[in-house]
Amino acid sequence: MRQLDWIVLATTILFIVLYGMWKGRGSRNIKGFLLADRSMKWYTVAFAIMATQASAITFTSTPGQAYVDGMRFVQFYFGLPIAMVILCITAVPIFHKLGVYTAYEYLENRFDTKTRVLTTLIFLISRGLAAGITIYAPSLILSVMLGIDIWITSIIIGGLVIIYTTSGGVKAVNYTDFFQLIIVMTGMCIALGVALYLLPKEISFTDALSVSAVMGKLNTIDFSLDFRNRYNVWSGIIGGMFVALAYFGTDQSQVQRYLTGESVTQSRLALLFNGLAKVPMQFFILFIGVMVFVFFQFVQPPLVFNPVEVGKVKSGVRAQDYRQLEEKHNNLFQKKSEEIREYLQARHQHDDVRIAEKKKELQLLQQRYDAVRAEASNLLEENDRKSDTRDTNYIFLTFVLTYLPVGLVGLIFACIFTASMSSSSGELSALATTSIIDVYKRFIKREASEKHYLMVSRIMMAFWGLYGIAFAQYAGRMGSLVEAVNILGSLFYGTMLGIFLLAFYFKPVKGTAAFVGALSGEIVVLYCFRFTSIAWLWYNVIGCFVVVGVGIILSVFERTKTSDSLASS
Amino acid sequence: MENLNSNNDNIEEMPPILGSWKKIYLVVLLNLFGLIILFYSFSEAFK
Repeated sequence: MRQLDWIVLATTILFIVLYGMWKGRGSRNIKGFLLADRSMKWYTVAFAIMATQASAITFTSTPGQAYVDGMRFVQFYFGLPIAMVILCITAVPIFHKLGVYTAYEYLENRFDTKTRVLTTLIFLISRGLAAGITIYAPSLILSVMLGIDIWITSIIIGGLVIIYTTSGGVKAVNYTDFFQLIIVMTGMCIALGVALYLLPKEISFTDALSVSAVMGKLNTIDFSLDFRNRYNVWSGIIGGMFVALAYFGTDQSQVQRYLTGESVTQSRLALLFNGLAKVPMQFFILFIGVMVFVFFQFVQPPLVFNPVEVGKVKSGVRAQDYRQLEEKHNNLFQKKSEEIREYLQARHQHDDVRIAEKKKELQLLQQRYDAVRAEASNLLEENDRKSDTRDTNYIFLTFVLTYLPVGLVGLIFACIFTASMSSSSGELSALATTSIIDVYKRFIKREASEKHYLMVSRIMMAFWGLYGIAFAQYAGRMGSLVEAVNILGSLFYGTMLGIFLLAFYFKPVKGTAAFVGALSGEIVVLYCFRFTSIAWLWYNVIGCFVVVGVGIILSVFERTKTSDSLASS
Repeated sequence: MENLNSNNDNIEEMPPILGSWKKIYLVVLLNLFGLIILFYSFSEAFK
């Protein structure tokens, strides 16, 4: 990065922090600090919801995923609009009517204390670990790409978030999220424009689409019903709907966003806007990755995009093996590039026989090319077991750093920083709110002044922020534990959703039945995780059904027992 | 918990557009359906 890039990066970040502090000023009680006095308009809430959901990884890794795997990941979001409608009908009016601060507070009102404690603990553990990763993952990528130590990047992200969340609370979080999403989307639009502009002059937009389709990157829709296939229309609509219901309906980091809406209408409109905009937004981000892929069909990409890992292998004992792979990769690239030009020529001449022939050759070449990249990934792992082989995280940023003009590079990196700050701030405020409302105010100090609770809220925000920074320092040494933490969330979402569905729709089910149902659901999900090959998206569906099923059966038994004992007395 | 009858808790509010929530929900679901069709046509067109 050049001087102008650093200036753009620093100015953008500084603006966000100062803006957050200014907009968040004046909170005198915890309702103001934790719920923004329920005064937010739908568009601020909607952007905050989308910014919290879209972490830095969304903007760095998703284009990389499209580069490698095509656009099929977009199907994962098909269930989200349906979930938004369901939540608008059920959760939003209930949470607003009861005036709760957290989703778990509602569960004590509906069931009992133990169910509230169980869900609070699940949230604090799973979201607490995820919050550490939300800082760690982008810090690692930024440190690799910018060549600075991870402790600096994590302190910048975590430290700045602490400054504006502790000073302005949720109001600051929502207003900064609004701007952060605008900045990020502007940056992504510019990146797409540059990727298209940098294509060779003779390659038109339809040529680019045609090349990506031949290489299997426009695989947007798959109607096949396969439970082991992670991304198809059915797993997206059904599994994705359950994930979205659980995330937006039971995870405080999202519930808190729409609880700040000034009315049921404002909260509903925010969620529905998310339902309208999320799928096109993900399509757009994936599409950037596909265009970067097309760009790299004409300009030679590196064999491995992570510069740190390349440096390590080149200075190690396997350097010779790596160089041989690089040579293979370069030859394949040249062949592929020539074949693509010939394919396009045939396409322009409408020569169907040659088109079919070239398509076949290109697909074979792409397979061989992917195989060489897979070999390189294995080599990195053999060279160093702790190496970061998730190369998808570095593809888009390599393109940005190498090919974007000066100034824009700084803007894109500012986007990545602000995206990680917006997700982190949402998580920190949710963790702090749950710690205060469901633990401190409920079990430790029930009666205290507003000033006291406000002070403890600020301390909690700072505590979770410092914890996130500390986690980021050690996460690299935890190796596979980081992946385990990512899986952890999906293991609990189904259970959480099951409890809330029982609460919303099954009035006769009481606390103990819901609690036992939750424990049963969790056991079944853990069994599926450990002993079956079912794709993780389905865990949410399975867990949820078991919780609801067991909860209903137990409540029927309870009612039969109660009516029997009443009859006998 | 706050007063259940506070001003914020009017759950029967009318939406600002289209006259009913049901119509807005339908628009969101039709948008999803339209996008699936559009994406399918998009990928088929370049196959």
